[in-house]
Amino acid sequence: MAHPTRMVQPAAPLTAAGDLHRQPTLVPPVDVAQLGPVLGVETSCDETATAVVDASGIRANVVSSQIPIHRRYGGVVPEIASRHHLELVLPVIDTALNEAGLTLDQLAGVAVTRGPGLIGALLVGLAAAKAVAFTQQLPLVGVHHSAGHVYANFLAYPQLQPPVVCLIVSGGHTELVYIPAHGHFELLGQTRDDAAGEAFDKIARVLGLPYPGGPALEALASSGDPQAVHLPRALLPETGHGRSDPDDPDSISLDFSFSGLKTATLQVLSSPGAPSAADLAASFQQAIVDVCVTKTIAAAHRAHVHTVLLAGGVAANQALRQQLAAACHEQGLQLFAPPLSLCTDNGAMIAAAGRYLLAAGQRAGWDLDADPNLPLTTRWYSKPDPST
Amino acid sequence: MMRSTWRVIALDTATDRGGVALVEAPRAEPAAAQVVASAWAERGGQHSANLLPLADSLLAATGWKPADLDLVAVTTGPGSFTGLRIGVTTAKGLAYGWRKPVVPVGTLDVLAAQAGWSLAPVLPGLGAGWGEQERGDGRFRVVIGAALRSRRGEFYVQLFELPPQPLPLALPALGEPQVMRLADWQAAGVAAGESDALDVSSSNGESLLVMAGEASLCRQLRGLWPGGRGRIGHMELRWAGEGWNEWDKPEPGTVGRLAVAQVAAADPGGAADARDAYSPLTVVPRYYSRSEV
Repeated sequence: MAHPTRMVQPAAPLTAAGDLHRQPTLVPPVDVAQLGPVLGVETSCDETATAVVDASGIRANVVSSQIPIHRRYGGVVPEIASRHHLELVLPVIDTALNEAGLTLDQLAGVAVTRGPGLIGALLVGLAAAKAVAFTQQLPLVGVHHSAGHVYANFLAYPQLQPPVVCLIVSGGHTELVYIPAHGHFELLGQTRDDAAGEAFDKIARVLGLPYPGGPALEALASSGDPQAVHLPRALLPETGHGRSDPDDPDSISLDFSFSGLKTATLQVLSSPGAPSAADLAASFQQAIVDVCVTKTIAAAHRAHVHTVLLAGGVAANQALRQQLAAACHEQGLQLFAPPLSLCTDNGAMIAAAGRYLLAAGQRAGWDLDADPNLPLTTRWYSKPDPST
Repeated sequence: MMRSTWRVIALDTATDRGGVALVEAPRAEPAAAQVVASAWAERGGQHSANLLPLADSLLAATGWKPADLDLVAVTTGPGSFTGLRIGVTTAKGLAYGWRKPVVPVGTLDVLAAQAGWSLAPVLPGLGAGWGEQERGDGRFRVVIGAALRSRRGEFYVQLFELPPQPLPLALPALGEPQVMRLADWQAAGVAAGESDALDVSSSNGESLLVMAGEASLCRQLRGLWPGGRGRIGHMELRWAGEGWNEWDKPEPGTVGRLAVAQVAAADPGGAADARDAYSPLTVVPRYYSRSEV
């Protein structure tokens, strides 16, 4: 039997996959207020989330959480998360479009989280977002997950303008970012070990609290005494400073470390005469809040900004919100934190960040790929990442 | 007006090879399905970056418009879990956006069909090894064992019947794909046709089991059976290797042709809309993992 394959020479040579890859391009910028509705897709961890955002705000915001599924494992199981994303992502896109009363061809673009996150989970959202964009030849843009969290604030508070400093705290991130202008990110500091939310989850697990541990630990802490147990606050000295002085913002490193706090907390738990779980939870939470507040205020002073943003899943923590608000007020800084529904992972924040990138003229190629360790680079749309 | 042909875009990322094909088949004669264009990249781990650019190139090269397409076909497993998810999600997204059905195709069906096409011309040669018996007279039976490596030292295998000529597009399966350990394979070989797991016995004569799939795996499987290539009971194991099988990995064109066969079998008149049966919202990979997580 003859070879049943008849090759047609495609327009582009197929010998090297690199030849196929359309480079990210820039098109002339437009005013973001003139941009039509954008679909946002976020699947970096355990929420399958999509949204439609236009110049007037959120048209639809659909989050299908896998928390009940992962609860029995005490954490996110990547393979299970990927399987659920695959089953949910198209129905969730469909629901968001229906709620927005739009069809795909009415969109002005598609924005998708390309990293950082669980690689298998990211790939599913990316494949779905790219394919639906491809069918209508819609502009496509990849969004950094943390940039999405920052933009939850710009979405919730349209009057908000850069320059700002943002504290991003979640299960996977603890970062201080300076945003001099839309779409420009300068990393001021990040965690050297655990993310704040990760530390919450780990201590919660040791205390026998259900997954996800952060909210459960916060609830327990509300009945405890935050001064009951002395736990370390790792302020870390800035390079060139022998020690960190809480009264001198320049002496404090903007990096975070929570591993010492975690170890100390575990030692208290296993030592004789351990305090009540509520007291320990409250003291542990207070130590994290103190470090976050001190470093965020220091970052605002060092960046010479008057506006501070709080973002990420841990931004839902009331102790952090209240104490950071009080500290900002004392320092004459204005604090913005998203409503609770926009703190945890969602598609609206990705669409919101994507809108600024699309308006600035950034366009990803159809080869847009996931990057589980995507850095939050500076000026990331005026200089497209050459590695993509 | 309905075109007289089916047009299919087929995706496959079940193995290291990731590819796209455009397939066209007369509605009146689905078995005459032809691969119009096909391209793939042998670069595992880059399916996410390669798949849509390949589709874009083929559509541009052929001038096919999305409105011309009737079906989106995709291999749904077994295979690399991540690869399957990229292919299936992309197929779902394309089908959703274009409002077309997604037709799931088994990876081992693809390997078996490719082996069948390769074997058909050389079957008389095979028969010679069995005396003067003619194939198809019921004296012996040819069974194709399509095999694909799994990641944990296991492999997937599924048996297919090689029926008399003319060969159908899709070979009839003799059971579901299964995950086997190499030790189980060895045991099945010793049992030689008496095993429930691999029953290739023939009621009225000899059987020939031809392995299809990645050459290195087929060689390894053959080596595990006592006597290697020789007779085991009433069954002989051969390997559809170089010279017999041009494709030891799934070829996206085959995926498209099998999708046509599947839709034609489900809908002989070709009139009914296949959309409900193959909704892009519901199609999922078939992982066939030994321990379902």
